Amino acid sequence: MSDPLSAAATARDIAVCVQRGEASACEVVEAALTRIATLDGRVHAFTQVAHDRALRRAEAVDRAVRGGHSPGPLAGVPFGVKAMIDVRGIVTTAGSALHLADAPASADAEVVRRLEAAGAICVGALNMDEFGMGGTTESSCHGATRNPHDLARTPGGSSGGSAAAVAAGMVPLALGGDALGSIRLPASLCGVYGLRPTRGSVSNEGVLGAGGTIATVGPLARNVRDIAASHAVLTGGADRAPVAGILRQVAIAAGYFDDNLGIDAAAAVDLVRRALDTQRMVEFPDAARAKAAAILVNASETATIHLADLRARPQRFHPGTRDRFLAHALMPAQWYLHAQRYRAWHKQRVLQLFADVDVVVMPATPCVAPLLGQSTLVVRGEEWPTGPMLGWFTQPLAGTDCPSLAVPIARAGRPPIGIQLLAAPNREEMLFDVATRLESLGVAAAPVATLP
Amino acid sequence: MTSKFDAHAYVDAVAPAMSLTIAAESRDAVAENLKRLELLARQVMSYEVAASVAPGSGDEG
Repeated sequence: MSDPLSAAATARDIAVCVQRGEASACEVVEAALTRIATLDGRVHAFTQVAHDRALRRAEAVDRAVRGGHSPGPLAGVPFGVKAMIDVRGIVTTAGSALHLADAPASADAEVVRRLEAAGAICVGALNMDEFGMGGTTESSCHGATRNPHDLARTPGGSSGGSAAAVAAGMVPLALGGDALGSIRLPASLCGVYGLRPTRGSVSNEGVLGAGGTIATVGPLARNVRDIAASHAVLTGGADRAPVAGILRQVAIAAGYFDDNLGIDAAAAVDLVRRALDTQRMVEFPDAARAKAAAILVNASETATIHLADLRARPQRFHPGTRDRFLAHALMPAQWYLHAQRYRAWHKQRVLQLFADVDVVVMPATPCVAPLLGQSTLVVRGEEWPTGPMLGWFTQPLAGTDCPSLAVPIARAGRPPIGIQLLAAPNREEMLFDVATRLESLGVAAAPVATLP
Repeated sequence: MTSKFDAHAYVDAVAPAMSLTIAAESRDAVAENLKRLELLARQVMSYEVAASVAPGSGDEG
């Protein structure tokens, strides 16, 4: 069992120790706050740290334990939330100067209420690309977040702060948001697990800018058990411990997902294929067109959310975000409507694949984290714009509502990279079982980053 | 893939209808973003989906 006060502590170990009275929630939270104070000056994962709020809640957890009551399955677990998620007493900025002067949130988002009802303790808000419009966490009004494994590199985005905080061991658990890859992409680049749950299974209430049919909130952590436990709390489902020994039907994604992989991404997928001893390949229909449809749907829906501000105070947006939103707002309705109809058709074709396959393995990112400020990257000798290329493998199936888990591949001494596991909607247990098997084989691992 | 889509003219014509003001310094970037979207839209619009399929996430089958 990990030391509950250490950076390497798992959420489950913390909860067990707190419930047993072996450590107090106050001690655990104070240790996390100390790590944040020590490390975050270099990483810049947090936009706001809620010291007083966190310690008050920790005291409440400790009172419950002393009174013989169970605070819940995540007792004393410190967590952070992407800066678009409401936390009572914290200003919800979503990485935008538009909201810096807003009043603090008057209520917690549903996802925060659920985690805290399970005994977890929110310690603050985590950096993100402005309104989720980015893949590197560099467009935030709060400044860029750095990758804890290499401070010169991006953590990915848009949930870069969430991934970085977990990777650096500041907190064992964080919440991010994912429309076209914003949990999975930074999870891959920071070497942590990141779950995009079945769309619609996790509440978006109290999440700024989350209206729409693509995006969902999900957890990031450094082991599968913590992902599964937090997923159960967020969805109200049963907390079933994943089983490494259950034989799941696994296939490797071919076609679109077998192209444009850099050396590290290809090696990661091959390592998983050999570890799971699977030769089966599947090809998703029309992946490029599905990606286009998902982008169009998300573009139109996100622009609608910000239309009033685009009219009233466009100069307050990050210029790149603003100009994208303006273009999105001008899209003809028929593009959006046809994209949604195509999406519905495509989803049914994808679900047919899961008739005799449980989990599909595919790359998460085409390469390891690029440098901060790097506008292009080279994959297989070809130069691409950084943002679109980083999301190459996370975007195509975003419109299918399928859950996907980014799994970090063990790569001691080398920059992190992950793979994705995809399952049919509401079959997250399949993802957890396969990921747990990879963990047990030593193929998947998320060690705490060692900062210089 | 070449396109006859005049993004600048489109922006100039449609923005007022949306009560949006496109500042001079944004016009080119907005047009470039629209051109990228138009390429994506051509990919999607070129595929005929059966008339019975309604817009949505596919839950209706």
